[in-house]
Amino acid sequence: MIRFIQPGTFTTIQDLSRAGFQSSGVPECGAVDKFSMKCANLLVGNLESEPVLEITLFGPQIAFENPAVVAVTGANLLPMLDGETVENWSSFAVPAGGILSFGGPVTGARSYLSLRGGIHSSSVAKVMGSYSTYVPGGFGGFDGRPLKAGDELEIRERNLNEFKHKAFSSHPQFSENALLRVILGPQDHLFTEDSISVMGDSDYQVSVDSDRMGIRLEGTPLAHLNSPDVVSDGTAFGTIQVPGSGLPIILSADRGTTGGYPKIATVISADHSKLGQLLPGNTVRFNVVTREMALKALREQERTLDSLRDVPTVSSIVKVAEERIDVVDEAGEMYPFNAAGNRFNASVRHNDHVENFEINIED
Amino acid sequence: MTILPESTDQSDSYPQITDIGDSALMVLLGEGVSPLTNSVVHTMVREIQELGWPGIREVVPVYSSFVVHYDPLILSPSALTTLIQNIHGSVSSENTAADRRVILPTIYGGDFGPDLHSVGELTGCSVEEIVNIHSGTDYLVYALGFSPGFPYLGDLDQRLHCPRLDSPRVEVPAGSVAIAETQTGVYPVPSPGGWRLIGRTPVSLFDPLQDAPALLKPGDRLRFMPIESEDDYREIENKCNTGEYEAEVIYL
Repeated sequence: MIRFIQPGTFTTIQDLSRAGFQSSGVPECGAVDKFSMKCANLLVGNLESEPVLEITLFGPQIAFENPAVVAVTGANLLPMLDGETVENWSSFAVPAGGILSFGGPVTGARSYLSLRGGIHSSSVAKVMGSYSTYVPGGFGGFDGRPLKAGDELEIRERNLNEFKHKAFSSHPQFSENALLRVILGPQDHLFTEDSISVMGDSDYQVSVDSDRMGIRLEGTPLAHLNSPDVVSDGTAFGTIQVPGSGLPIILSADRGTTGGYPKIATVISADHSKLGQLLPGNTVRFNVVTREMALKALREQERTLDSLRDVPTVSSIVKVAEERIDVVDEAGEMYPFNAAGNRFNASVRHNDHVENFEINIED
Repeated sequence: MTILPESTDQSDSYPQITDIGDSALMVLLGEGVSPLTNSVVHTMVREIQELGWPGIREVVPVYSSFVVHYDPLILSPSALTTLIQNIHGSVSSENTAADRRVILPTIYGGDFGPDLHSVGELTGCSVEEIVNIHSGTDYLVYALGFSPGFPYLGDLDQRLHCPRLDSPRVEVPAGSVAIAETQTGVYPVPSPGGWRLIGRTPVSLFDPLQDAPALLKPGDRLRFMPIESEDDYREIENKCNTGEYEAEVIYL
């Protein structure tokens, strides 16, 4: 069991997302920086999708009643064990009676704390298929709210002796000046041509009004061609919407499922991690890229995570057709692949999580 | 970045399929808001969901468009675009009739609808006329969005059109029935709001712990049924709180 002596600025339980309920108006939720969150779980040998603690700015002080193995990733909020600094982006053992605390933000905004074995389901609520806390709606996670002093979480029992210390050496560096790659659209045609170049050439500052719903920016306003209203339509993580003020808002995990402002561009998936790490006052610059560049960047990011994953080996290719091949792994299980040209993307289910990798077929 | 070239022929201009970043497509089926286009939106969304393609994460319908969230490591946007075009080519553009009518008992005026009188002054309608007009018609649920369970309802009678409040309320109680401009709606959870409150329903529109958390579904017809007295309202409210009340749903 762990007990919160101090809760920190804003500490919530989050998993990957609450997928499947946006058509009921329920936000996606989940960790804002999913890359760091997955990393935290992999470092302690958990499933990537296991709920973790999302720690914002000033971290909590947590007393461990039993020995545990934990990992801290994401922002460097100065993690400390019994007053001694511990390495960020690595897993470490906490003895019974150990106290984990945080000194304060050095770089980045959100840190992820994973616990080997995971948080026991008696301590957290799975609502609509997810443990993620949605604070405005008051549901999910720990009682639908951020953690408070005195709160306790049960940790699932797991053999801690099997555990090997792991560190993630190729982790990202979060900067005060974030370069965010974007794909234009879906409504870039509703802005003046000037605005598109202004967006690519200007520095924007992250406003203090930023939260898990969205990152508000200050800087040069972007001009709409006509009205700043569109018929309400859907949104995505990283969508940049521009209301009447002309100041962009980057939509995040707890965004409303629909919006009525024109959307000039969307931050690519490989840079979503950086969105979770922006602090008020940080500078943001946008760089327009193509869809192909975005996919390449995402694959590269996935590959860095593969170093922490236990990816099954493909033993044989059994069928090759124009749009599809099937492969068999060492255990004899068959997986379908989808093709794009001579490159195939594979999605391999491994227990209850999905691993993705790609193969190039040469003649 | 529009993938499909713009066509000069109106009937061929849709669907317009556009990237929202690298892992979602926006599919626009028409301009403005129309029940016919909305019906095609929901038919297509249902068909895509039923296919259950690997890599399709979620499909989210709104008024005249829907968003398909996908995993670009599993599914290519060109394959998804072809799928959407094929489905669009095969769905009938006829309006599929709603299959459910949901009745929401609603108390108008008093503390439950503090803006009923100002609506009267702005529209020139008597309180009785407002209640009769507002509860005298079925509203199409175009979509749920904005906040959990919030229905985008169609087509408020022109006689009741009036502006939003000058300054929004900090908190609108759950169940509030409100109107603004050309729209009417119900607030499922307490939230800030600038619409004019004319009544309240004791029926919960959103319960996160239910398998289907939202009472309403896109494509439903919604009908407000006036509650005559505060006693009747409290009786229904008590039944709602103890779980004895079941919202009246008529299958058409």
